[in-house]
Amino acid sequence: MGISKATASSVAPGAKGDLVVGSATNDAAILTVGTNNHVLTADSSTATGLKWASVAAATPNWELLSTTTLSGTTTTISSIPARRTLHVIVREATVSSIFNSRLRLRLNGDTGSNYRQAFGRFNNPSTYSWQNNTSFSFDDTFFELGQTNNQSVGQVNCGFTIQAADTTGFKPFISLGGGSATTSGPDATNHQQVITNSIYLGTSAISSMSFSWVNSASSNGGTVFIYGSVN
Amino acid sequence: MTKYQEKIYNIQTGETIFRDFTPEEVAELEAEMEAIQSAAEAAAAEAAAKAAARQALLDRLGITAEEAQLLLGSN
Repeated sequence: MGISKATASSVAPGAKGDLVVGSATNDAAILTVGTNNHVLTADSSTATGLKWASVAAATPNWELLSTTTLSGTTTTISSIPARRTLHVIVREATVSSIFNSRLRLRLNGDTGSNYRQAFGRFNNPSTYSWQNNTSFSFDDTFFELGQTNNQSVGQVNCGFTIQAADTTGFKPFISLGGGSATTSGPDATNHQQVITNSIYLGTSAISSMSFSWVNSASSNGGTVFIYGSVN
Repeated sequence: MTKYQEKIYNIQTGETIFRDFTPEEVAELEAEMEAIQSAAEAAAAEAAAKAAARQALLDRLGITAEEAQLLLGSN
């Protein structure tokens, strides 16, 4: 049985790209052509049950969210998009005229005692033996990403991962960082490599990160790369 | 430009602003730096005092540090 209510004139395509589509039982209507590159999509709220719509871009598994140069006393990267996992690379974070300075990370501007960090270290590069004095730091007010030691200039290269970054719960934090007393990579006498297994007790999704040096008023450069994953 | 500033980069807008530290933040940062400096100086002074006491004891005994190690059987 054919369409009985529609007439040839009422359903005839009026322009290039028009579609004749069913609008009800034994009825038809014209759906005019959509915008270039739009696709036909089901939509029960329209008269024809169809519409032209743009294709939503898929969020890539891993995406570079930002590249930021460290400067000033503190560098804060804000409005971080919600991602399940954040991986951050800190390249050549440099500081001068300090001793025992540590690269400090705070999340969401949180200065409370919500950073629980356990350290293991390789010191003294003549042997690079594992330090038995593996230290634990509970209730710190920041995460330590690396340390330089009693030098006029020092540098930290590190990476860290925050899991469950977009959830309202505690967040596992793992980092691996090396501090050296030169700006040309691990030096012969002062390189220290640190691995941490930690947790951040803040419950808000991660939306900002702040980097600063303990015991220094300013950064002498370095770059922070933030990658996000939906997984 | 003041001594202490925070650089804030907004990922969503691409905007970067610089904010001066508040007096409270300046006081907190300077107190932290002073405490670290004091702790380092205290540790250095303690190490120097121990070394001096050790040498004074060796001098009283009339032996060298190597001889003391032999005496104690340490490596």
